[in-house]
Amino acid sequence: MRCLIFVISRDPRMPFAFRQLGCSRRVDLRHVDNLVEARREFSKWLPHAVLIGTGFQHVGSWLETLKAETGVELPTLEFGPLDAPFARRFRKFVHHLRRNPTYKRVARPGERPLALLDVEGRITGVSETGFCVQSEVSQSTPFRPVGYVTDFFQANGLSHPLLQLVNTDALPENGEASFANYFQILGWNEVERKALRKWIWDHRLTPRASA
Amino acid sequence: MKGPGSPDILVIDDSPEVQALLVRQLRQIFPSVRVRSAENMHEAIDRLREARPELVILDLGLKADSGLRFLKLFPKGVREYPVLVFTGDASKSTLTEAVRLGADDFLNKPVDPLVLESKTESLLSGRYSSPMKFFGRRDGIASITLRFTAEVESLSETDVSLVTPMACAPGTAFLLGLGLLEVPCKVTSCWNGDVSGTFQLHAKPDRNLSLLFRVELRRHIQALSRSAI
Repeated sequence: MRCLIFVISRDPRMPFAFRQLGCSRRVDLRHVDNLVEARREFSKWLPHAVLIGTGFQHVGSWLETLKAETGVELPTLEFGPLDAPFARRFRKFVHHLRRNPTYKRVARPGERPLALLDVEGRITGVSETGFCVQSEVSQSTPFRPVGYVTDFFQANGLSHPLLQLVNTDALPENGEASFANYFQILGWNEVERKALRKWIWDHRLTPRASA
Repeated sequence: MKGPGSPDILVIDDSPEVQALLVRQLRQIFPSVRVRSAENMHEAIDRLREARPELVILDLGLKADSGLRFLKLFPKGVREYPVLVFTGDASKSTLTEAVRLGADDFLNKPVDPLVLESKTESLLSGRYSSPMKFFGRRDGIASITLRFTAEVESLSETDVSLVTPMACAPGTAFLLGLGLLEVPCKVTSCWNGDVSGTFQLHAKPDRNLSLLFRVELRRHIQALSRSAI
């Protein structure tokens, strides 16, 4: 992870000086002139930490206000002369930032937000009652409907059916885990099943023992 | 294959009512159809000796002889006509056995006239694909994206921990949809979750995300944290 760190200093050449010291590896440094500007720029960039020159006052209360307003506890490192001992402290500081992310959300059960997962796969077999999808996902609980996105149905004049997982087989594939997921088609009538039979015939698909 | 104008269909069923119903429906579909019927295995063999049908519709639940026995006596490689079985017992084991013995397709009782018409037409046309078999191509037919919902247990720029209904192999690339933000990630590990049927999935967001994208991700994490307070 590349860390973004604000360098709060009245000297705009300070980020350059940090780079000269060899402190900018895997770190993006952004100069800000004072604490007011730092607060303004904070919302725009959400930095991981701040480096503050020794001359600044009220840094403690600034950090407190920032925490109250944004909920972010920003790690801070004060700098004076940019010498070898400071370079060591800075490297430790960055190492700590990588291991303890400034922006992290941990939720208890019952309070967890939901997210959508999209995993690519290939339809490798079709029948009028089911589909076989090869992908790197599998499921141990059958008969659970699974969402999907494909242009296969629309491109062939078929309505989008509900797909329900029936069975999963592990497939040996180039040494990587791969699964054949067999889905049952729900919600199709005979007109659609017939259209799919015709499509299978027109495209000269062959029966496959293992789809 | 003969033309669909005058098919010869043999119906094997021990119920005169079902026979009559099927014959009537088949004649409606094919006005000049020649439908012969047999009540048991002996009669069926006699009918087959008289003339080769283009389609046999077979009741799997024959009283004296199981319909499965017919399929054993006339296996697919020997007979030159498709067999459409119909049964009131549409259990997987019965149908699997029938398909293993060479049945081409099946109908459930009571027979839906539209399904009967569609399947009969398909079988007589010779352009037939069994619903019990998968058809495909070695390189696949089309791409598909499987989409499912996961609970976000923890989220940072470097690590994601999720509870999912699907297992994902380590190395699997996926898009994590966080509102309007879609974060490309890769699975690092996955094992059974605490609740049956769930999986604990750990992943890492793509390391090469642009600076602005990473800012948006941080913004999302910050918003989640604030909403939880």
